[in-house]
Amino acid sequence: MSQLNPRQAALNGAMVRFRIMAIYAGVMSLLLWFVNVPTHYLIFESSHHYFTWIALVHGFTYPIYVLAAFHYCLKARKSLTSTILFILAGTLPIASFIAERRAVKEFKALN
Amino acid sequence: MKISKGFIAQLVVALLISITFIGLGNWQLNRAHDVKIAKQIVADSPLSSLENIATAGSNLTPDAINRLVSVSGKYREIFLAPKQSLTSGNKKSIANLEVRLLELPGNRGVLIVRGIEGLEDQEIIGEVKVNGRLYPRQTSDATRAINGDLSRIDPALIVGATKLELFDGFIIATSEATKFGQEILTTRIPAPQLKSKVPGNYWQHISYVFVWWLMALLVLLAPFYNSMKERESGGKVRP
Repeated sequence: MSQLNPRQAALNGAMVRFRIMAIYAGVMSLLLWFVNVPTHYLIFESSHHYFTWIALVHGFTYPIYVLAAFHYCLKARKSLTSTILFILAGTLPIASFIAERRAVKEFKALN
Repeated sequence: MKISKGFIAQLVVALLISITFIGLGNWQLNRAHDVKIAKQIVADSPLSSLENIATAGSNLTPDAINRLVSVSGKYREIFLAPKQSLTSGNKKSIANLEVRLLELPGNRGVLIVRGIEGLEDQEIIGEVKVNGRLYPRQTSDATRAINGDLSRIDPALIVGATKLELFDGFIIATSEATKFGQEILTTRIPAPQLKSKVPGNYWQHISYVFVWWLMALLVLLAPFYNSMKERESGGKVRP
């Protein structure tokens, strides 16, 4: 692993936590939107009870993503608008993956 | 310390949004409570006479719905209620149901769902005692009304076909007996307690309560975000 510069070192902990939660929230959002919701309202309605855990787990862990995103944005000194967008990215499939990639890119560009 | 008008405006907006989010959290809390209540198993009240809990020509009161009732009279008309949805446990099925109009003393009548439609109409002469559960009238059609069939089980559909004053709702019979006590057999259908359909899971709604209240807290922090950011960079590494 390459040596971190002082700014990267200061941000590293929050960054790692945000990355883990962003990937996790992205996977949960995908499950929620493309497994839980369709089985509830569109297809295989009788099998919906097998997937109720998805909404439950997503509901309880999304606040952890929100806190991780807020802490990362504060440490990275992002604008309020960016912070709001980073927090909301956890609610949409793919969006949190995009946020994670963007954060990594910005992190690498820090000097 | 001087507080600018812009900051006060931000604070007011943040407060309004925060109150909205707290309200949404409370709404989810109420829904969680509703789900809990809806899924509770309520013990059945003792069997009572239909006349004691309902009146012909009047709407059913909420207390009367779901009650186990007993009623005696003579069958007058036979109807078919096609394509009715039946639920037994987690299984759902569709069946054609036999519905009869029971005439009660005093020129009154009530609809009785006897069970699954038979190949031939059973001839039942004389007074019959029916035990069953009282349900509210159906409000949506299960099928199109053709040949005098009932598109839904609703006394309003047969008002023109009888001179009897009808009780609201209908009874799903769980047993029938002649006045001599002889049981009348047919293919019965389940008569479960009606449950209000509140969607969702208790803990799922509780989790949304936490999400909304956390959002409310973060919105309240928003006007102070820039000062928090400055403090964060001031204490550590500056760009």
